[in-house]
Amino acid sequence: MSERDWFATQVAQATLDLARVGKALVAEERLGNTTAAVRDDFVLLLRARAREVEAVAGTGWAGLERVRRDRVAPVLAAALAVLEGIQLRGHPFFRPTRIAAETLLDALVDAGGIGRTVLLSVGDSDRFERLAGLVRTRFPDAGVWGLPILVHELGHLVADALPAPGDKDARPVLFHLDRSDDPLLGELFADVFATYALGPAYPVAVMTLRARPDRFDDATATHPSWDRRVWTMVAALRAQADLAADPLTAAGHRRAADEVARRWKALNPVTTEPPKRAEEDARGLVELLDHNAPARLGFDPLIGLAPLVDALDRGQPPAGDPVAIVAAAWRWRLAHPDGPVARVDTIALRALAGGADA
Amino acid sequence: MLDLLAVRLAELRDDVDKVKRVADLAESRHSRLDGLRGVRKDVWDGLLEARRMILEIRGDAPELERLGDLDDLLIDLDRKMSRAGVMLDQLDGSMIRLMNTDTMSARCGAMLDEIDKLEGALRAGTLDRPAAWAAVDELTDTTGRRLFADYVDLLGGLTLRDTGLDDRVSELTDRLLDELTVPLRAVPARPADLTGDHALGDLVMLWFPEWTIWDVPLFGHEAGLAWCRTSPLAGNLLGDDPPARRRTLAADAYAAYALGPAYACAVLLLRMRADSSDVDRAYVILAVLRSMAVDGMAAAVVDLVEQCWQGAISERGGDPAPARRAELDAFASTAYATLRDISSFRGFDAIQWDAEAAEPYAALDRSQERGSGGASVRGLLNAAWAARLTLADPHDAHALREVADAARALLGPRKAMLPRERHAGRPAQARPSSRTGDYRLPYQGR
Repeated sequence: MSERDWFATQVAQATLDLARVGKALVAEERLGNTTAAVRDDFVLLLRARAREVEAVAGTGWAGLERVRRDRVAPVLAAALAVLEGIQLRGHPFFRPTRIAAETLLDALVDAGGIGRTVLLSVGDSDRFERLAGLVRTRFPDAGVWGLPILVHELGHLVADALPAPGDKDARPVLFHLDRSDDPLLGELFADVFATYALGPAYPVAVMTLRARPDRFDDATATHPSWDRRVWTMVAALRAQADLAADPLTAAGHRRAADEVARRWKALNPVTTEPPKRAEEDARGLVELLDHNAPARLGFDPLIGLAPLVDALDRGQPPAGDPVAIVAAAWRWRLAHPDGPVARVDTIALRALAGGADA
Repeated sequence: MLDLLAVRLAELRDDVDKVKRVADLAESRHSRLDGLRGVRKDVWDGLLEARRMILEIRGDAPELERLGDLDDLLIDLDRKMSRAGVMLDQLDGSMIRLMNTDTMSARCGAMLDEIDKLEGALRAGTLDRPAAWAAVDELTDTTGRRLFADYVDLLGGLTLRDTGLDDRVSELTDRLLDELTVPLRAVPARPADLTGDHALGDLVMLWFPEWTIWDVPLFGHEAGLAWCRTSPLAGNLLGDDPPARRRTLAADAYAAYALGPAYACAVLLLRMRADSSDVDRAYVILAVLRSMAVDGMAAAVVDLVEQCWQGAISERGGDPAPARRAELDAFASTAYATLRDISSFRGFDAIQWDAEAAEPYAALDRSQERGSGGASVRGLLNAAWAARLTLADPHDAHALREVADAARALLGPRKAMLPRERHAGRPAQARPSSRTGDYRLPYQGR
């Protein structure tokens, strides 16, 4: 075999690999309707990569290696993640939370107007995998209590996919984030998105389940400090109040902001009111959502959660939209810090699954 | 020689007699309608008899075809009589029976007794003339003036109710008081007072210019005063012979509990003085509501009203925090615990908001279809206030009128009272709880 034929064989094999990945994804029927968009994305992506591989014929081994490493390998890893995710999401242990989480995320995707669905799976941590459009919840999942954190991960997808009104190709959030010289603003957008959509349930959930006193004031390479994050969430609620269409809705948002601020001060007594920077960040990010996302994405602070909380307390799965059920579950938990958390988790998940069946 | 003191006493006696006669006439409004009803029945019977005669004549002489035209005329008259009957029933239904006739008679009787005693003492020489003049002045300037003012207000208010010129507010208040199982009726009146001094027996007076849907929650306070007077629960809360201030606070707590945020809206936004004089009352009302309205729209309404109230107090240089805060906190907490023992209705908390106010609020929301039949008045009042506060400009008078009109429309068609209610003259009452015993009114609770 000549070197030229040898090279052509490897190019053909790389193209074949990509085609086989496409077949694997198409053969996986459990992708279902909710993830059809993910599959469609991959079909286009694999086709584009196949064309890139074919185009390296004249560039030699170095060019082929570069395309394999930089262009093909990430797509193969993402495809593997999708297939792995599909297998894991079908596991019976994960089923109740998966159904509940998909119900919530689908509702928010629909309300957010981003025009693509999200694939949910399990991983070693809560995270968003951009290329696959995959939201992973960590193993073992935290049930209904962890759902707000998945909404934060969904926020990363929204940042990538939210179009501008009348311009479906524009990406105003990405533009805003790119323009900023703050590499951590993307995380703050995900926080603000989850707060905007879930109301105080999100800040309360992350404060309760994730915040650590030793990291209250210190940022990491990927995440801002907890103090900055929480005050940005509080400021986001106040920004929502300022943008509310009427005084009563504004009062509802302010009540939520005051409640979160009060809880954060109790956990972190040395903290002070939102720094100017948090207010500026939050206002800019909330305005992005206010200008570009449908109004129904925003949490309605006037929803009466009391009947839902009462039903959860009585062991009855309440009827309501997914956001209200998650918000009610957290409201119950705050009112019953020593209550039967596992029992209410089961009831809330059942309520969310009921919404999915309906 | 003409004796001026005797003239004044005779005049006073004549005035009191007049009041008594007018009160009796007011109550006789129904008997006049009964007379009309009797006439209607006579005409009806006559029509039936005439038609029967026509049938008989036509049977004997079929050629008399023109009798058919006469029969049609009688049928038309019969229809018109039926319509007149319906209108008569509606008129009767809109009239309330006065349950305070005894109270009025007693007040008139007491005054007449005083006049008798005065005249007797003068004749017997046991009272000198300066003392008699002082007694006449006292009777004229206080007891008499109050009685006459009350009756003028009462008659004006009854006229407004009877003629339906009150914009259905009477109907709203009657239904509200029924929901709270309070045996009171409200009439528009001249004096405005929340302390209960102007309640006449089972009639509660509300200043006429404020006779709007927005003021109806103020009746919660009157219902609260009635509860304070009669309920053993209130007795436990207030003790024997409580000072008026404490009774007022208890009535406020009751009204906040029974009517929810709508009471705070009406009393804080429309009635109370934004200075230090009403700070304690406002504090207790908001404290009770904060215990109940923990969530959603109910909580937002309370927050908004509180912010508005405190802002106004501060603007006038006052301190919205009461001086005796700890004492008022304890009172509000005890009052709330006591009120929760009322068994004839549930307090208007966040769950009741969802059950009673959510649907009418959705109907009032301009984005949704109208129609919320069967809404409770408590729910309707809370929904109307929430809709008012949801307006982009809550001060827009035109928009306010639209909300008020829409809320009244949700009441459905005007209903005549049930015959039993007309006869009894008081609202239907819930059956007393087995724990309360038969001797107590049903709203008194356990």
